[in-house]
Amino acid sequence: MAKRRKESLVFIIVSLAIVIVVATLYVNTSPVLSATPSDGCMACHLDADVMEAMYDVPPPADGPG
Amino acid sequence: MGGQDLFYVNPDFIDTVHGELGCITCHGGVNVSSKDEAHDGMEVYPSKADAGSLCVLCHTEVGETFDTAIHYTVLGMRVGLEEFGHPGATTEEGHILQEAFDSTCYKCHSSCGSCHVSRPYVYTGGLHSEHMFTEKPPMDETCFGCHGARTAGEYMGTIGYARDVHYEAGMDCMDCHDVNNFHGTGREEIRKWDVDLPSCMDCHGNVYEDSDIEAHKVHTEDLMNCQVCHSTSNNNCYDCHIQKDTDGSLIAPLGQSRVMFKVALNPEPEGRHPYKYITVRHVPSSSKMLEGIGLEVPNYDNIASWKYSPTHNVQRSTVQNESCDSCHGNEYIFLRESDLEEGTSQANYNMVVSDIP
Repeated sequence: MAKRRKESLVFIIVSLAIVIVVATLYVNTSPVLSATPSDGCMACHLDADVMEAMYDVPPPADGPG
Repeated sequence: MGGQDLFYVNPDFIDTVHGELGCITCHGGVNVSSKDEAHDGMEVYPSKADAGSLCVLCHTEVGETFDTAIHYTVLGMRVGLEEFGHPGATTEEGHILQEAFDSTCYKCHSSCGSCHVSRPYVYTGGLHSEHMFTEKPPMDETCFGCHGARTAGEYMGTIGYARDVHYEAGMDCMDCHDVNNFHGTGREEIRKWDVDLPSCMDCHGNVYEDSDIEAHKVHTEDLMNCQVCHSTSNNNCYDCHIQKDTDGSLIAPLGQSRVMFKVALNPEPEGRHPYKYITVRHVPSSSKMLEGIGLEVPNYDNIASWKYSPTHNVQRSTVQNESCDSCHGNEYIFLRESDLEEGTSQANYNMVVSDIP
């Protein structure tokens, strides 16, 4: 009886340890930033012709330094 | 170059780690296809705030050093300007020099994105690689954008008369400059000389002891920097000043520039630069540079406007190293009193080579 109780205790402790390790790993590897739907932006910015027509680019100049 | 070159996003970007986040996660704005509405509240440069705090959420190791990196703080320009007699003025709310600094010098301040994603703001802005993040930024689209009028321009041959041999060999800035020159080390970098800059000897070894070339043996390590023999003419700027534009905004129009080669006396030989003779360039300071905003420069005469310049157009063979007599006795390559402009800083006289070696 005492031996079975001891085995159960070990089982519980080991299980708890595994849960903690898995939870820690998940927190450390889960993305810090979450995705935001942006298909509206993509509709224009993935189209080269739209970008060409939409923006006037200032002339490049040599930097000052 | 058109809008396609600067604002088009490569479809492959969507499947990258950064692309999967969606535009709005970093840039804000609204998820619609109408330009004005979509751009409402949008942040063009999401990494510019707080030393790239958005990027640091994942790139923690860079965050530990970047907030003191000179590319981020531009402290070199800030301290250099304040030393003319206005300590603290560039950060003093409402001070005219703060407004002037923020509207001119501070535009060269770098964020994570201004190298890894986009071209510098002063260099048209926009994307350099269709929004693909580049671990190693393209030199001609990024470094050149801020350093093009002098160092990077000389290196690439757009300024002066010769491209650097290292550029011709296919090397870019990052082949010599360690990543900590850009991301910082955690130490506060007040001047560029506080950065752990590369040395020619990092690759070429101790040429003073190990080279078979006679000239390397007779010229000691503390006599002159390598560029005295191995660089060519560089860009020298004059007359930079701050003035009000027609719309009241503050601008710093370009003054005169002259391409020339000058060797001067080192006014303060020290550990890192122990040389007696140094290659120099004139930097764009003048006694009247702040006149347009009603300020004087009381310390003007204490600060030399000729500065040590490890000029970045290195050549194996140059006019001055062709023979002993090409340099020795050649007064044209040394800084003489006649080279100093009218009203020059008194500190420049300490650099004049009176006795030509």
